[in-house]
Amino acid sequence: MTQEAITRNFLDTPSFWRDYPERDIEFVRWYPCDVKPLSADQIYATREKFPKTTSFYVHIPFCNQVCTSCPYNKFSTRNTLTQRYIQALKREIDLYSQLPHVRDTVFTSGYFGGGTPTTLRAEELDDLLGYMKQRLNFSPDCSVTIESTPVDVDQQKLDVLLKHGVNRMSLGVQTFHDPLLRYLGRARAHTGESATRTIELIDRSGLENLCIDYMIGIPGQTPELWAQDIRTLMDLPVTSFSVYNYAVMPGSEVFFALQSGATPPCPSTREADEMYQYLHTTLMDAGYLALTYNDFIEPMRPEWEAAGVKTYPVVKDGSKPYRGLETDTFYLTDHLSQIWGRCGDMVAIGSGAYGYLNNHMYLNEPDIESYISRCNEGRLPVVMGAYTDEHEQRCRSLVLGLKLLRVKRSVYRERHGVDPYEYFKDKVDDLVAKGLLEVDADAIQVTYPKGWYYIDNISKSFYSDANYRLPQPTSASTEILKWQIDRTDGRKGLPLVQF
Amino acid sequence: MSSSETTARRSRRGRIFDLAERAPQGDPFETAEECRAYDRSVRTSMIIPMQHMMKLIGPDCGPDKDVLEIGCASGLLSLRLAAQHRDSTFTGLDSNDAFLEVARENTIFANLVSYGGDFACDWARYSRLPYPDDSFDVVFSFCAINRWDKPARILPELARVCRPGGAVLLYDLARDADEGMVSFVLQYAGGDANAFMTSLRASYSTEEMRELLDQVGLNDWSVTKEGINLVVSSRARDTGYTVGEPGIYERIFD
Repeated sequence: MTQEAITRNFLDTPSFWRDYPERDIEFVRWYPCDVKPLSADQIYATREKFPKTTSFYVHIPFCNQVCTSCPYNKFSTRNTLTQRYIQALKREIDLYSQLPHVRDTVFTSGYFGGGTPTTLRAEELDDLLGYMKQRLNFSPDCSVTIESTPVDVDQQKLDVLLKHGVNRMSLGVQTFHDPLLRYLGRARAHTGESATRTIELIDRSGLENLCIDYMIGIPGQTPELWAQDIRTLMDLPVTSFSVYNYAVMPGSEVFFALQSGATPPCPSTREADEMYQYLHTTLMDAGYLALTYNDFIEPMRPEWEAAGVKTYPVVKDGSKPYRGLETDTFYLTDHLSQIWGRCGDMVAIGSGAYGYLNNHMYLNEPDIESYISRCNEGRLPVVMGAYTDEHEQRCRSLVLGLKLLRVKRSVYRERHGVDPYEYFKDKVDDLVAKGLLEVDADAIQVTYPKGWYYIDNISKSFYSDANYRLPQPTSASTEILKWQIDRTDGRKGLPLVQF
Repeated sequence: MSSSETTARRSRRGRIFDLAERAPQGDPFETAEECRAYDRSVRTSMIIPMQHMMKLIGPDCGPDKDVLEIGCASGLLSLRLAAQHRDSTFTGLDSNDAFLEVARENTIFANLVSYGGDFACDWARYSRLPYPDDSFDVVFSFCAINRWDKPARILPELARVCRPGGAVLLYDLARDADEGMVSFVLQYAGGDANAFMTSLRASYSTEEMRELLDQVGLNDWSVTKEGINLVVSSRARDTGYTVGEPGIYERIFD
């Protein structure tokens, strides 16, 4: 029954905490979650650490067509607003370039997300990227990703991106089936054919790493259509690949279309799980390498191997030949490795962007007009965040590190001065007993397939008491701040010093 | 994490939000325009609670039942139930004329699109319902208790007009809800965040509702907490959400 299907889909999707054996499906991407009001002055009041390398995230909150299902901070593209926004971004970049924490740091990777960063015109992209290159230090093999849709990129934009060293593009294809794109409300934006054309255009341009995004859980999606999409993916010149859950937001157009039967129902939980399993086995049987449970990269190339890229067995008993990629051995996966693996610094630029600097996770002002005003006044637009003390850092390295399926004990010991297994012995033993983790002398590793399915349960097991049963923060968390009893800043007990 | 540890860490209350003391808000809806804004929010951000309530009360509503909604606001819930149970009679009462204006607009629209069902709304003082004893088979309210001045005078009235063997079901927010859940709803409440928090702060905790019921002699009514909601029922019932069939992992791994 359609109504049952939709109700289940909604209730499954936004529920944010499930204890094993229920499967948690809130996508863990940030930590900590107990955000408080926080200003840039507070973050940099005491210099706790000097990052040698860092990553950046630039948020471009514009889309030429806003999808009804998108939870991120975004607006429809408007010319004057876009120009004022780019000016504000440049002011913010200026401020960071003068900040002692960032001035001498080398950027090894970066990410332009949104929104759709390629809604900016070629000249605007040229202006912004050129400005960043001029003000900040980039390493020679810096890997820069930009998100796009199949219709917002053309030869002129590609030329600009390549000129400035952007070498990875993440393309929101979602599916190659036109009826499914119509159910997603993307019929006006792109078709399977236009996506194929764009992928071929990008391939011809010589961009090193093209990643496409798919969705599981789209209304009308069937295992047969999914299998066709996977075949299409493997036939196209696509280097890497990510898949996300499609969430039906309550009260949205899609929600009512589903309820009235105007669109076919979403796949059931069981069908969605089977689609994940089909994806995993099909790709890894073909030699694709796992980055996370939902990100994969093409089979090992000789030039990557020659450059020192390393892999590890996904199934430790050797019963399957599946391999995972050690993201920190490959410059093209540096961003993932930096933000989740090493839990390193990331400078957040733009309205609603998240970053991590000087042991603080922080969020920039999500309201675009307030963001622009603050930058124009010469103030960094940080509004909230949380300080991570040594214990929280140790938690964070497992919460986020295990998203990459494997945490090396020697690397963890070097970073935190303790062994992750010894420090979290009870929790790790419990997860091992449940068949979700395996531990050996080298690493703590997520089991395949069981641990992969429970990846967010595993992450959340390492939340500290202060973060236990809290949802992932979003730019809308600023709503929460207004109602908190404890309005003290996110530095937790550190002395406040005027910067 | 062991299960005992989970239990020890389970409570997330009184840590983040100012919810320790109840902060009554009275009736915040003065104009029809404010009521229309609430109506829009019931249609969108409150659609899941509305459907949960329909699922809970639906089985009691037909056939040939007399159903009363106390604090029907813009009438959406009764209109939807009336369309599902066309052989039952639905009456919505509200003490706010601005809401009744919007409920009548919705009724006209429901008639225009031949939505069907027998629904009428009227003004009443909840503490003195204009009906003889044992007039209805079902009495319910949806997200209204937090705006009632004197629930101790209203609850016995609901019991009075409900026939023996009938059902009273009251659905509202629970002030003692898990704070993580409150954070989560706040993030997705968008422009309705203020209204949500004001209502939550004005709502009762499970314990306070239990005391209130005991105080007016309704000791046999049940109070349960479900997610961020409080469910008061004249008879015990299964309030749980249906969260779908098990995934294939249960088949693969166990």
